[in-house]
Amino acid sequence: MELDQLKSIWQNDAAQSKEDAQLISIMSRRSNNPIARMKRNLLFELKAIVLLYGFTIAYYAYAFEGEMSEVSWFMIAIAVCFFIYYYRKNKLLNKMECLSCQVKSNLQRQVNTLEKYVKFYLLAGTALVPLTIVFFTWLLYVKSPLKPKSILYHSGAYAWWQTVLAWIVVVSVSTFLVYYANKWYVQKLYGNNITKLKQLLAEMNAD
Amino acid sequence: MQSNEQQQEFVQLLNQHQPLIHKVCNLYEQGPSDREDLFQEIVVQLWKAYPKFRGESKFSTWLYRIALNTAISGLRKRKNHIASFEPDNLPTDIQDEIYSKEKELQLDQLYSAIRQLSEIERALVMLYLEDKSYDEMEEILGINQNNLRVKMNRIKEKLRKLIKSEVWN
Repeated sequence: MELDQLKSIWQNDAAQSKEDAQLISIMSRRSNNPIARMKRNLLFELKAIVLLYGFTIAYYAYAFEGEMSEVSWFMIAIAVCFFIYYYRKNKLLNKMECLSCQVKSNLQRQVNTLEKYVKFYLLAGTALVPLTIVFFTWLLYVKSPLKPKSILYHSGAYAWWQTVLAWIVVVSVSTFLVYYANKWYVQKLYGNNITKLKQLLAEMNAD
Repeated sequence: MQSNEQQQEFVQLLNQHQPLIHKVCNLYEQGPSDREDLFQEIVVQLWKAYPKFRGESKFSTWLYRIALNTAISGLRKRKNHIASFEPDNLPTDIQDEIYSKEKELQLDQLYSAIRQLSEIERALVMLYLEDKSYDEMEEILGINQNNLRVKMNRIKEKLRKLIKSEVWN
């Protein structure tokens, strides 16, 4: 078969069609594209956070006669960070694809934005850990009637540099552990997609 | 929210170009349900993008971009499917068509051969078979014309060999 013959076979293959009503029904459906699904998941995450944080903030503000209101303030601070996180992620998702752009530029855009998205995800997920450790250790120290005897709390038993060193070790180890766990997770979620997109792009750029 | 008038206009345009979308689906997906999913996704994306279509490029160029972008980089999860082309899986409309046995076989061989190419090569072959000029190919894919010519020569040769092996099989 010669290529010109293939063209005529190809161009004659045009018999499929759907009725107008079927098309209109399809048009009203929601997209199942992964980016659309990521946006829906992010919105669900936001609603869950508002509900869960709202309840926790209100609870600690009034329970124990307001003795634990620091927890509420901490949660408010984390919620503010989360809203920034939501805004940034949503912005990246909106920028992630341009389906009416040229195929190559759309691939380039997806690779760049997905890499930024993954970095941000990793950074935000990891940054929360030292903050939470420091806050709750401090809270335990301040609120506990019997001051805990630990190297993490400066007392006569340990020199100040020992306490500082202990803090550095605890925060660093837990942050690194969470960082690598997060890294493994984002790699599992997006790693293959990024590799595939890069391969496609390399193929387009190759001579 | 798009108006009824806009909807009618879009459906009319879609009807004129439906075979193109089906061809993209046949090239990029093998199972009938995967093809149907891809068809629906392309239509949803076209409809979503339609209000922004300003007519700066031809409707078909715009449609090719959205269809190919959705098929190539949509990061969709494929369902498990059999690797060979199955004429039984063709939409009923095609089955109803009276094809000569030879034409049917040739079409079968053509699709089987093209599916062995990479995603990018499939897009190039499709545009070639649709008789698109290098200008239009560049406008759709974003690959410069020199690079396109080199790639096209290589792919044509590859396709010839694949078709030969399909015929031989």
